[in-house]
Amino acid sequence: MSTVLYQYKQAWAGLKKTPGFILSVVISMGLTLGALLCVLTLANVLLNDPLPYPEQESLYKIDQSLINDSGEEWAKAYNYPGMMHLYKKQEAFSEIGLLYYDYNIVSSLATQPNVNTTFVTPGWADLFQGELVMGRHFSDSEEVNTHNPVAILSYQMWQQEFQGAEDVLSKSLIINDVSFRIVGVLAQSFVEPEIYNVGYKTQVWLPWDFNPTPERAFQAWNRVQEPMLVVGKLKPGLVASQVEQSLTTMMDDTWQQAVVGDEYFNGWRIDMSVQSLKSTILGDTERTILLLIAGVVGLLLIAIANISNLFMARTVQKQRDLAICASVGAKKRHLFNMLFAESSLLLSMALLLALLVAHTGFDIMQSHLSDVLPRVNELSINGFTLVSAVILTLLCALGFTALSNNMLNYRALNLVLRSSGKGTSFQVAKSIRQLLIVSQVAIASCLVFANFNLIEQAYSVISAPYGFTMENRVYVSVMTTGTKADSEEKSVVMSQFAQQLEQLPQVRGVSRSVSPLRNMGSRAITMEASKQKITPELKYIDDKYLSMVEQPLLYGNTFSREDILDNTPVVLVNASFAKRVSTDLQQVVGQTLSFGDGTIYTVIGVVADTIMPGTTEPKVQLFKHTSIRGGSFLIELAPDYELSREQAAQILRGISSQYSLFEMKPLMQTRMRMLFSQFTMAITSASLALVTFLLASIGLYGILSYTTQLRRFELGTRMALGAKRFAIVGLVIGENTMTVVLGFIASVIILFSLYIGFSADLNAYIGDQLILISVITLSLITWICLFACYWPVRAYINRPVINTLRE
Amino acid sequence: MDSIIKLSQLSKVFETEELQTHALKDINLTINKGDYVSISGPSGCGKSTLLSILGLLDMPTSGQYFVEGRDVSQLSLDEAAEVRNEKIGFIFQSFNLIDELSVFDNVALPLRYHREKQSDEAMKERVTWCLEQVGMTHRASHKPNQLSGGQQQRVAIARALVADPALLLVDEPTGNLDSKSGDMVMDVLERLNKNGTTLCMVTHDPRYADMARTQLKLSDGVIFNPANMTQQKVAV
Repeated sequence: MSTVLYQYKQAWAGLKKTPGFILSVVISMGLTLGALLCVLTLANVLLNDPLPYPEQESLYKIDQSLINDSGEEWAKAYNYPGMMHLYKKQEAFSEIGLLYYDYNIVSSLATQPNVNTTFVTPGWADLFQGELVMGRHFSDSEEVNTHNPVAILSYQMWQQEFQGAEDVLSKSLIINDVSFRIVGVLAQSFVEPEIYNVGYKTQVWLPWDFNPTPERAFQAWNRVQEPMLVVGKLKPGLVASQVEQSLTTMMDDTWQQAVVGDEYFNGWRIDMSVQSLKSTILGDTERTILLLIAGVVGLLLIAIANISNLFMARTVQKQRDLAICASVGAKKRHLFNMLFAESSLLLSMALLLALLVAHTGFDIMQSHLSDVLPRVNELSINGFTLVSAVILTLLCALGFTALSNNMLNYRALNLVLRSSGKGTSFQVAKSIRQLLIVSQVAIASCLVFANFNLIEQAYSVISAPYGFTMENRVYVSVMTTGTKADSEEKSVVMSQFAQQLEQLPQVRGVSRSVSPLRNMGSRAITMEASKQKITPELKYIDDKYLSMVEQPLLYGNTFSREDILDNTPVVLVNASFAKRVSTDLQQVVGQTLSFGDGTIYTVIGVVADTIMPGTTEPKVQLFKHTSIRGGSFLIELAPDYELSREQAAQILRGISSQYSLFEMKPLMQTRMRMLFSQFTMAITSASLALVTFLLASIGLYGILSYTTQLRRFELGTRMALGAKRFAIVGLVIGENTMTVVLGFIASVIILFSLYIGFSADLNAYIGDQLILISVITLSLITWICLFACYWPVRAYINRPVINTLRE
Repeated sequence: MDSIIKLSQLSKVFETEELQTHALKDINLTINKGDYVSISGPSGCGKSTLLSILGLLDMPTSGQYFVEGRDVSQLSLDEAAEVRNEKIGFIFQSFNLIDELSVFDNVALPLRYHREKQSDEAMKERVTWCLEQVGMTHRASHKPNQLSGGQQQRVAIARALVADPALLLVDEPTGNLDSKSGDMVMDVLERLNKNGTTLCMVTHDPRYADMARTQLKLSDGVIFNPANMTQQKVAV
């Protein structure tokens, strides 16, 4: 034990003299190992860790797909009666939970907060068995059709809105005019399954009976509702594929009977599918995780190459000490232990930094990426992280020791002492130095190239023209908070609100339209003349909308004020819609269509296509005019002016206390949110490219600096014989050119192999932009190499030659 | 006689934060064509500094230095390289041959840095002639590490001669050699001088210093001519 301690003490004493070496190793390895631990832990949570629910492997999400007569999936969503039928009739699942996601104002609280509400059946509690801080879960007393108004709060809701009050179970919440008695509070440790949207956090759970589906939809087999999901626990012994078949038969039979006679659905069918909850939550994140791991492993390889180089230089530096130890009897094993003591000490310091980096990484992911990556809230430095950290550190320490040890020729060590500086000192073999340069150039080129591609992809989505204006436009929606107002009164209040907003000095105009960024869902229509079926996205706009968002009208007219007041059955379509109907877009104006409710609508105009932020293709859209009772407002502000939420809320309160502002967001803010994953991708890729670039620069500089140091006397001699500075720089560059070119060739081979191996995934990245990205990558890496060649030499060529020749 | 080297009031001061060291003090020295000068003195007297300045490997702090009448005291690094290449041949104590290059290429190296590029033919002729002068023609294709110390030094002499310099600067040519090899090298130098080559040699070996026609002693940065013990202004 004392020997081990002695070795570590000696190692530390030796290292203390080279703070630059310590810093380089600890920072490079700490940062890259930290990043790797972060990504590995995330991968472990997502791919390996079981979901934190009892019998999680039996939990499935049950989906219904509506397949049209062409065999295409028209929608993956439930119709209300179908869902209730499934709930009552299915037998494959021992527990089944229905979920309806919504967003409501809690009018009983002083701040009238907007909260995420989820309406669930009692099965939900049995499936997830979330721990409670107090109270109870929903049970049979909240079964479907019991209409028992009770609520369960999330821990965060309890803390935020009730300040963690112990008597919260004696309180109620009023939502949509219904008073819900609070019966339970979930524990902080409860992890809500992210099956609806990644990062979605329900604040209040309410019984299923109170979900906002209008009564008319209870028997509407012909329309689907988006935010309704079904989760179930498969009975033991049942196989998912068989269950899919039996559910499909059961649901399709019922649906076919229900829509019989509806021509629109001739040839359509229902398909049921079940997907394990774990893969549902994982979604398509697996690809992101693999990309992240590849990126970070690349970085780690560069760092390892850099540090290998430093260790080799360090071994050269230590040769004399090692030779003295050998001369007084140290065996090979002793020398290995000496070297291992030093590398393990350094790597342990790097390990501490790595854990700190990983911890910070988890914090960053939890605060910034919880909407992009699922289950990030389950991330922490756990056993897996620690074991991985120790294994990686040990492997690196052993690897670096073995590298240094391999450089030692034990038999020749005593020559170091005898020859004392007559050119017999051992050096890093030229082939190893060249291999290091080739690997640095190859890895750096691949990573920089890949990251530039990701940046380019993200940028092209971010900077794509949308076809409408968002700057200085704010979307406001209004909701009723009190007793449901009659439609007459609502139209008066909404009109007054619009008028008063328009009178504000900073407001240029108000359009009674839904936000152009809001997805309103699709509707099935039939063209009257051709009986062609189209399912466009439906938007509600008024007469001012097109001019306000500067969306061009291609043919025909937009809505008139009279169309809205008289509720005329007219619609607008976009170019993508019109192209489906006719090659001559103008021909579409005047055609008629129906929604299947008996009313015939006439197309009065064709508008230009628009693209939603985050997408690349326009949607097929159809525009109806808004109702005079509509509570959606699009406001155009004068440039550089703002409209505060308080100001708008005050105006509304001045008109009626029965309404409150539900949503108010500048379109540019919504756009930013929609582009979040693109921005995240661009920023992450740019950071990764920058770190790669820096690490590669340091690495190449390290190798070439070491090589130049070895050649110091040779370069000095050449200068003494009359070589000018340019000739010396040219010599160093010339001698490394072939090695760098080999590195580039290796990178092309790596990238090409990746393309062959993953061509399906990578096809999206193939295009003309690759030429520019290749040129940029090549130039950048060439510049690093030129810099790495010049910088170490500059110390020798910019001062009198004698300084280079002197010992 | 034609003067090849002329130093006038030349000084070199090394400065650190704490102290100034006067390595050379007001040196006046003239070396004429065909001279064989030795400079000797104890360790630290300034021999190597003087040789470095003579070889334009270092710059004087003050004073003037002329090579064939041209003031070279304040040349840029590249201009100094050019003068070094054309006018001065170096012979180092540790040979300073480049291991990766053959004997032939080592000797040819100064010609590759010459302002006027020579044809391969002319280069070969010149290199062969130089190797003949030192008796190393038969080793032209060998690598330096395949040669003995004495042979390496003879190759270094051939390299110093190749650009037909005005002056050969020789730094302890026998310092790394056994006496037999040392004698052989000194014989070569003597023969070159007899054939008209100007030599300036730094050595602390009195036996070899005596072989020069003019023997200068350097002490604490000041030159003495032991022949007449007259300090400074040594015109030989």
